[in-house]
Amino acid sequence: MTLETPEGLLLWLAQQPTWIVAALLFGLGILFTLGGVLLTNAYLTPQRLIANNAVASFKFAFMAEIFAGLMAFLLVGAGDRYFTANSQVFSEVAMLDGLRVVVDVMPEIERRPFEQALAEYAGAVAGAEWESMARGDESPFAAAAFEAMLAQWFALAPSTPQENSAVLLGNQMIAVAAEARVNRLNNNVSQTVASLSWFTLLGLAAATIAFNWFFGTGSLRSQLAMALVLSIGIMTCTVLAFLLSFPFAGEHAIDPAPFVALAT
Amino acid sequence: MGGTSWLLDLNLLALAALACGGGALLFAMGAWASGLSASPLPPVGGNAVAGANLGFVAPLAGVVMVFVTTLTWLQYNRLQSATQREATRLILLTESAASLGEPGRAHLFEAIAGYARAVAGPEWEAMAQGGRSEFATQRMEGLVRAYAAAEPATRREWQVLQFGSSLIRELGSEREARLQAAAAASNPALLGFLAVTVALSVAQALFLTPPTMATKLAMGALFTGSLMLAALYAFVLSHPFAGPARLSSAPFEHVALRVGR
Repeated sequence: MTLETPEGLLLWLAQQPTWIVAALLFGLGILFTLGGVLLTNAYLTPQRLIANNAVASFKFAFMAEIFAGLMAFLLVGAGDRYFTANSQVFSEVAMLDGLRVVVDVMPEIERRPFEQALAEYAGAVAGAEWESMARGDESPFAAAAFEAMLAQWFALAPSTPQENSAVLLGNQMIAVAAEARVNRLNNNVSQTVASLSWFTLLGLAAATIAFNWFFGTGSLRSQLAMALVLSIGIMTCTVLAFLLSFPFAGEHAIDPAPFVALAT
Repeated sequence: MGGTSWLLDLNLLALAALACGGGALLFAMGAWASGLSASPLPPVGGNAVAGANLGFVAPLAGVVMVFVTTLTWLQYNRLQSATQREATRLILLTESAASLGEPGRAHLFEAIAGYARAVAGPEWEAMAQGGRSEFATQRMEGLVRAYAAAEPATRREWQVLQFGSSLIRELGSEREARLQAAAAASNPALLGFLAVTVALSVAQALFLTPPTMATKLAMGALFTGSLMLAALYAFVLSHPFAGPARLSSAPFEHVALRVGR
């Protein structure tokens, strides 16, 4: 991970504690807002800025609609991805746990390789893949462990009607587990798309804040106060969307404990 | 994709700079052109009327932006999901077929690998144009025939083939979902609708006349640049086979490689 690219910077920020994310985003937003207001008031007279208020307010109201709409899209999307990723984790673990139960009807010598492969897969997900998912990737190690687990499952040779029934049921469970795995990985949006979303949102936030610089009041203090309130409002939504956008990174990351339990 | 294909070869920062800079330039040209014909002083009540009109256009533009962005995102996500689900079913088919005896296993492996390669190759190119590959369709039919013709030697093989048959059925659905999502992803009409909305919004904003040309250009650049940035998001996502949000055929290449092992 490199901090030189936008993707690297986003990933680094996503892995920081919540208070650092909030402090950085709020701090940058407030500095940008107040700095711009002070700069424009230094170069333009209050009278010129006040004369601009009518026009600036119309355009500002327009941009508010666009910003709010896109923010809603990102917030809803991020929230949906977070909670769906969480449910997919539990769905996959439930199926894998069901396979452990189902395979219990087979003799130990027959079922042992599969049980080991399942534990190794669970360990790979809880370890290597959880770190990869924090970066928006899947883990080749966990993918190989998954395929090895599948190979062991299909190598089972049931010899009694009871074992046959167990394997038939297990086939359905393994298909559902595979689907849940795919959905878990898909919900972890690729870094390119995440960068694109954040690039757009932060650009719009910056433009919306910058529009505020073209307003003028009789009192610089009141203008700074209003700009501060605006900035806090915008950055609150931004911080919330950011925290939800990375379900496997940061303080609010989804817990791998269900997979850890399977690995033991 | 036509005339916009060169845009997608640029990286994200360059695209954004081009969109915002281009928007600002367009606004400046519009401001210059409107300044040529209008009187030097704004007409009495002109800003109030222009502002009221802009206030009407704003929620419409907002709705269109969100509609187009959401739709393009959904199509992109659908395509990505369908690709992953289809590749996972191929992996399940591969692993289940590995437990069969010869020559059944070899026939099924050949059919699976053939289909995976056809999707990763000719069909990926065809999907970029919103189409499908006849070659991949034939390979899919070959895969179906291979499973239909397989003869299980034991009860276990029969179970494996039965499981494989249900996967084949699901594979067919996922294939169609993938192809439909690819065809729907690049929708020039949707992008055209967005472009018209942006143009109308900018045109309406040109009727507003701030006290100085400098503030008009500065605010206009911010205004138009923001709209172009939002439109850029939809533009990039509506091209899932090119540009910064390009989807990879790697899941299918991995299947072909896996079968080879």
